[in-house]
Amino acid sequence: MATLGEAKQMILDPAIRDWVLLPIMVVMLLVGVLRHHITVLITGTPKKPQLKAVRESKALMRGSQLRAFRNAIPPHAFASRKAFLTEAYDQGKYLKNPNAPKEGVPAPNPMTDPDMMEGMMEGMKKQVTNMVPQMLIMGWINFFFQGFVVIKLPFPLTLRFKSMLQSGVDTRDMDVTWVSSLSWYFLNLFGLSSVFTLILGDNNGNILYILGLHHYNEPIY
Amino acid sequence: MSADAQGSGTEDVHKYVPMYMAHNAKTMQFARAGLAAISGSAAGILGLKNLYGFAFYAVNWVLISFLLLAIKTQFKPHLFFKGGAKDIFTDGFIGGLLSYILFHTFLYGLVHLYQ
Repeated sequence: MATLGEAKQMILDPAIRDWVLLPIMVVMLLVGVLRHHITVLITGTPKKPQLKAVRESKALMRGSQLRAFRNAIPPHAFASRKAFLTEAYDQGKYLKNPNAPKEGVPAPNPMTDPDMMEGMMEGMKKQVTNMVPQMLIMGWINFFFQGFVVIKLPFPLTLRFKSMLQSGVDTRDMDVTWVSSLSWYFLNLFGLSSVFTLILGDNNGNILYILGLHHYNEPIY
Repeated sequence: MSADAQGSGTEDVHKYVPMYMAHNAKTMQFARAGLAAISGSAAGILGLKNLYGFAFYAVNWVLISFLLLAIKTQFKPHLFFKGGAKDIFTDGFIGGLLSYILFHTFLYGLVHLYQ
């Protein structure tokens, strides 16, 4: 097994650094900033929820808060609140539409509910603004820089990583630690998140946001 | 409060205000992002190789986690994070590592690879 010795050292042309390595990084940075601003632009103001719907959810929250802080109030206060809320719930005082039949009604089809459609459209819009630029950059790199070896990792890896790090370069004997241009793109894609956090704030740095996957693991409070 | 907050279960949810929790997480994320970028660059410029690079990251990680614990939370992590000290020491380790690797590789390449 060859080590990272001098014998295997390749010399890279500084022109590769100036015209491949740095441009890819800078373009990805700028596209990330642009993506952030486009997302801000096309995200409309959140739709105002209906008054009745808010009342229903707040009433439910009130119940669960009473349950959570049961030890913080005197017993008689707890008992009277409990009685009041139980009665209100039983009568359906706070329901969004109290006249709706109680059970046996199937859930409405989300496709026909305009509120749900709106929410889905928002998600789709964000996903598109996230994915399209990334695919464009990938196409750009594949078209102009295919087969460039741009940089070397400072740590050794097993052969298994060869296909991952040297995509686009088909050489059998090159050391695994050399990185091709397309793989440099992937390194940037995953690694620039901290830069976005620093310059854009918020959650922009999160890789899940960049890939449009953040809907799947939002914390539920 | 801190003793109460250690309990588990869904009812604890009400003891934390989501807005403040989000702010705390953001503050921590910001510190982490700075750590990843700066320590990665430092490792690259120093020319750390092989496992030394990862060891450098680990040392820095523990250091900044301890600083967050000591300075930002005044050793009362349960007031700020649901998981307490565990959150401070584990959240975002892998994401930070990816950024660290990028900057390590980048600066190492610029300083030591291209002549």
